[in-house]
This record gives sequence, C-alpha cells and structure tokens, in this order.
Amino acid sequence: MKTVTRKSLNELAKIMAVISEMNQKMYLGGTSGSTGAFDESGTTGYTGVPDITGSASGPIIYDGGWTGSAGGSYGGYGNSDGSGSTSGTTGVTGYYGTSGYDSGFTGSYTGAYDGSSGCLNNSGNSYYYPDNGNSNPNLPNNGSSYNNGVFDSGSTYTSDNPCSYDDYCIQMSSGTWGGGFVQGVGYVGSSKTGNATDDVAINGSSRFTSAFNFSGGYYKLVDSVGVQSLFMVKGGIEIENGNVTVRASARSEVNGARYSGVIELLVNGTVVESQTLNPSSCGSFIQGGYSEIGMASFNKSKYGYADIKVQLTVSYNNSNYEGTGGWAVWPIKEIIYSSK
Amino acid sequence: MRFIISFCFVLALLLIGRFTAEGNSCGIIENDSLPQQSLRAKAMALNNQAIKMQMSLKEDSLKEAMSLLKDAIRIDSSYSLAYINLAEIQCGMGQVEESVRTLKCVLKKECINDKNILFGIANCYDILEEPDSAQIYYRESLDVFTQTICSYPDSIQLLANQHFVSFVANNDTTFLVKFLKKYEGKYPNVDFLKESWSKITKEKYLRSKVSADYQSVLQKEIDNRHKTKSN
Repeated sequence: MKTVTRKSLNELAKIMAVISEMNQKMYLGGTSGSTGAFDESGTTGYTGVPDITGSASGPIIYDGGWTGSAGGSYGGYGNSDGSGSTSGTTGVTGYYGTSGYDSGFTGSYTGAYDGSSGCLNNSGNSYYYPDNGNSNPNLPNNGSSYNNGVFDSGSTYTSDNPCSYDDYCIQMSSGTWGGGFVQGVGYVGSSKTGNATDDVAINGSSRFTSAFNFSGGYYKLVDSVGVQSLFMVKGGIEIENGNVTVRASARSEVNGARYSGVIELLVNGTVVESQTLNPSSCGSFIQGGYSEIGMASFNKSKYGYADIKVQLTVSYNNSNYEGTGGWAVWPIKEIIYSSK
Repeated sequence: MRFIISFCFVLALLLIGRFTAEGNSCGIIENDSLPQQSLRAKAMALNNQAIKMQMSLKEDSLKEAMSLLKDAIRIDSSYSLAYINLAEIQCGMGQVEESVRTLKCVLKKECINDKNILFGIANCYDILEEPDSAQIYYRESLDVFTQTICSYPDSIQLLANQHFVSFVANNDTTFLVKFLKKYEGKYPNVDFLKESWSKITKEKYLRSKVSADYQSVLQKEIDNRHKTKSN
C-alpha cells in the first residue's frame, strides 16, 4: 500500500499530476464551501474569486490567470484502497482534509454530478475524474468524508449544494447571481462579469459565462414514440479574451439516442463560422441522465464590436428504433448568446 | 364469355401498369418486383442512411435525405416510417403542403386512421394558417386516441400522447398540467417532462416544426394558398 506523507503544495506538484488550467478555472476556490476563496494575503475570505487586482473589495471578476490559494479543508490524498490520509489540516494554506480518495483511479468524470451514475473508485464511492486517462490526485474535496471528488465553487452554491437551474436563471436575469455551482451546468461565474446585453468580453480580458437550456422534439409522429421523443439541451457558454467556448449536453427518454450539435457565429445576422460540437478531451460535468454532445470554440474578437450572436443547433437520431428503422427529431436552433 | 374475361384481365393489367408507371398519388413510382421482406430491408437501409444525412443539418444533406426517403418509399410503398420521416423533413424545410400530401399518403396506404399521422396533418394545417382544417384532423386524431385507450387503458405512454394532442388541439396547457399531476410517480421520469413542458406553448411547438431558415419558403406557400382561395 502506498503511503502518502504530508508535503507542501510545491513539492506535491513536482511528483503528482496537476489539474488542468481549464479545471482550475472551473473549480477554483475549493474550500469547505462556506468561507470561499482567500485573496493573496491569505487572510480574508469571500465567496467569489478575486479580481485581477486581488482586492477583496473590488469587483468579483476572474481574469483567468489567477490560480489563487484555496482556503479551507482540502481532501487528503488517498491510497489505492480509498482509505486516504487522516493527517489533513485546515486553514489558509491547508491542503489536507480528513479523508482521502483513490488517487489511482483513471476513469472518466462524465457521469452525473449527483453521484447517481458517476464513476466508482476502488472503494466504491462516486467520483468524477478527467477523462484524459490520467489520475488527478490534486482534486480536493470539501473535507468531508468521501465527497464526490469535485471542487467546491467557493460560494454558497457548491457541487455538494448546487443551485437549481431555474433559481440560477432568475438570479442571473435579475443581476443577483453571485457565482457558484449550477445544477446541470457546472461552475458559473458571477453575473458581475457581464451579461448578455453588453459586449464586455469581445476584446476585453474579462470573462463572461452564461448557461442555457432549451427543448425540442416535442412529438414524433411514430406510433409508440409520441412525446417520448422530447429532448432537452443544457449547456454553458464562456467568453474570455474573445474566445467563445460552448459546451452542451442533452437528454431524452429514447434509448440509443445519438446527438449532434453545431454552433454558428452570426455577425450582423450572417453566419460567418460554423463548428460541430465534439466530445471534450478532458471530460465535462453532466447532470444525471444527460449525455455529452460536446464542445466547440472559436475566436470572435476579429469581428470587433459588431452585433454578434451564437446559435446552437441540436438534433438526435435513433438509428434503429425497435428494429423498424431509424428516425430523427427535427433540429432545434437556439440563440445562446447575443451581444445586443 | 371467355373473350370478355380475357379482355378484363388485360385491361386490369394495363391499368396497374399505368398506375405504377405514373406513380401513386404521392408522386412516387413504386417497385413491387421483389419479395416484401427483401424490399423492406432495402427500404430500411435507405431510410437509415437518410436519417444520418439529416443529422448533418445542412441543406444539401436534407435534400439528399429526402431523395433517399423517396427511394425507400419507391422500393417499399408500405413502409410508413419512411413517409413520416420524409413528411417531417418537408415540413421542417417549409414545404408544408408537400408534407400534408405525404402524410395523407400513409393514411391511404395503410387504410387506417393513424392517430399520430392525423395529428401531424392537423399540425401542418395549423402552420398553413388553416385552423378549420386543422380542427377536423385534431378531432379525428383524438377520436382514435379515445378508441385506442379503451383497448389499452393502462398505457401511460398513450395517455401522455393524448394529453399532448389535446393541449395542441385546444391550445390549452392545462391538459399537460393535469397529466403531470395525475401521473406523477407513475410515468417514468415525469420530472423531465415537467421541466420541458413548463415553458411550452402551442406556438412554440408549431414553430419548432419548421426551421427558421425556411420561414420565407413557408410564407410563400401560405400566401399562395390565400391567393388561390381568394380567386
């Protein structure tokens, strides 16, 4: 059995896999969930993530470059039997929790965040790991015994206590969203980083994130299908330094549904770029029952401050329904981002 | 007498030949030269190929998909799934009159009142802004639902479909609410339905059947129909 001793973060980083930059951005601020991230001084906790200046009183904007020191309890580093270290510490620079997780697991983390269909580690608990085939022992949990292996968002809404999508939409549209973990979407930054009516993200360095959901395929005219063909799409759009990234997942009650998604960039109403969504190489967080459609990204900064829209089209087919032949649902198109 | 019988036989053959050569009322020439099972397998392969083409979501692919589905129908004229798939693509591309014709073809071929097909035709008439015609087909569809439910009273799937058709026919979402209340816990994943139906309206449903890219095609069709009627 491998024994993991207490080491500094720098020492650990040399010998163990380090979480990708993208995941750092998603899960930055992993803590007990109540105190949130700490600024560089390591003393003052607040529920968002620090802005580029690191000021506790400044706007809560993440510039994408700050990797910050997460306060609170991190999960310990576990052994192959999942027993983990028990010598965790808490506090500003703490990185040990009281329970470990199986650092040897190499499964995918595309299962449900609620644990219903997630990957199992050797000790039989649900975890989610990057789908890159590498173990990621640096994923902390919230310090509680064998949590779901997901970073807390550092705000009230954590992976353990996610905000429902509907509540998120209300808060987002009313400008009160303070950032946190959204059911079915993952971590969504503060609405103070921008909203759909401004274009702060086109050339600026700030980050804009937004979630979307929509339905389609309400009724298939095939006997014994009908309303069963219904599908729902959920996802998120992230704009940073002009780079637009769209991630989407979908759900239907039809077994064997195969999804297809295309994003289009419209400038002044004309489609200038189109991309097919492909499964992300590093996995994604997906709500229980949903399947990943994929992700795609492009750079919109070259189009300047024009009227820019991002449109997502999704469809699915069932290649051989009950042995009678396949059918597809008519694709649904939805504007998921509009600069005006 | 013998001459009359022979004459009738030859006449019948000529008529059948003429019909198959000119195509059926759907405008698709049929092929009945292979055994039924083999025909179905070939038609199914074409249908599945069309479905894959449809998924690329491009206009050229959609046209190719329609062509493949017409081939499938030509090979096996009783393969109703190919008609349905074709009708939905036609409707999606704004060719709603064509879609009605294709769906009516299934009814004719199958010689039955398929509740789903009737619902589909009603949807098309609604899209074509002909509510009176739409209501006739909605009523027929719901009548067939009632008859079918008498035979399968425990089929929650059937009831879900019936409530949805009632919602569209009456433009009244309380049918959906009633179903969700009544069958909560009984219908699998009722929460999923609840979430998706929470924002649905009849207009949204009908709009989802025709792609925004083909709205101008549809508008032309509607205008032409209005002109023809007024003339």
